[in-house]
Amino acid sequence: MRPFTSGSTLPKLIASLAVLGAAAAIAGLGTYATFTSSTSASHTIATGTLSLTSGPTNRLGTGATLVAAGDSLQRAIDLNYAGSISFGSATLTTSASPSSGLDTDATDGLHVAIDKCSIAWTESGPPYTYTCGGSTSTVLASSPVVGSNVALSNLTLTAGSTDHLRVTVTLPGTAGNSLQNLSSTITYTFTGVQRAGTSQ
Amino acid sequence: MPLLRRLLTSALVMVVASALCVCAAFASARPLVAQRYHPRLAIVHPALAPVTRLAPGDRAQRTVDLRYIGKGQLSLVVLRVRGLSRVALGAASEGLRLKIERCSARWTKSRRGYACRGAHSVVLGTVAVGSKQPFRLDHLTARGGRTDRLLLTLSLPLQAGNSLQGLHAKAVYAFTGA
Repeated sequence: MRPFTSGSTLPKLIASLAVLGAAAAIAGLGTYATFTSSTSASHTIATGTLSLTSGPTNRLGTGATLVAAGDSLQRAIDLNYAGSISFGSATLTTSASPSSGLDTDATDGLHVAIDKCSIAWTESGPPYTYTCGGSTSTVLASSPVVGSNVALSNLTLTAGSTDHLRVTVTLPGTAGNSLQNLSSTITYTFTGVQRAGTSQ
Repeated sequence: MPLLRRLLTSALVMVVASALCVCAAFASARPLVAQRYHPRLAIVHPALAPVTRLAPGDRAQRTVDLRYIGKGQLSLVVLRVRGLSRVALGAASEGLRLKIERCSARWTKSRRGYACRGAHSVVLGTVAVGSKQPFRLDHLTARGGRTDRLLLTLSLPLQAGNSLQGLHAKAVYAFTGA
């Protein structure tokens, strides 16, 4: 057996092994300090979708000029409902930019009303007018042209269906001379709201 | 220095022996320390029914039977929910919420949801499931041979926005007892 040749190497080697052994012992004790047991369950979670689109009929982009007090204009638009969640309601928000007395005068300014036809409206014109070969119902009674989150009634709101709407904008006969030669651009935003929360 | 050499050699042998003992203990099925009984956790039906077409304001309830197999008592049971911490559905502000309740009897299902006809307790108050931190569960029996009948209620807050539409994720509920 080859003798140790260094008086300093052996103690260092033994000290290193002692440290390693102590560390292993501590690690071993730590491993047994706490017993655990685990189990798990899982499932997939998916959210639904809502989709409200317009078309193919959409005449709302067609403007009107030379409107006089007592005049009205009609424009048709189709609303389509899709998605995996049912709709609970729909609202209309309108804004004006540029704005004028036509939309800021809530009494004598422009008013909007919306009707629904159970089938597609029959269009004639321009100027556009519409007749319904099915049954009609009121979606929005006449109200000032600018409004926020105005509730709409009598809509189908069923995924896969379409509501055929006729928007009628009227300048009341009471409109005075102050509303002559004005112009407003109205933006119509229809918003579908999901059904109430349910339990699965 | 024969005496010093012997001492050092003996020390070396002891260190190696203790290390081998620890290694053997790692490999052994039997613990090194005195036996203490702890039950093993198990879930009877770990594949929960999927939750589909969830909308803000909705809730989905699933029952889980958490069994304690063996003897003894667990001092602590925690839940970690994996799979939701990095997705929008797990967002703390408007993401999924979880509540867990326990019933001493089986949960009975009706059209309005689940009902408890025994002693009822809340195991985990409503929390955002996207948290990476484990949730400590309270009011469990956690005793060998027993079963805790749990009701998991997932909900999507009303303030959840359109960005959460059409998303899906897999949630893993990991129960750990100690």
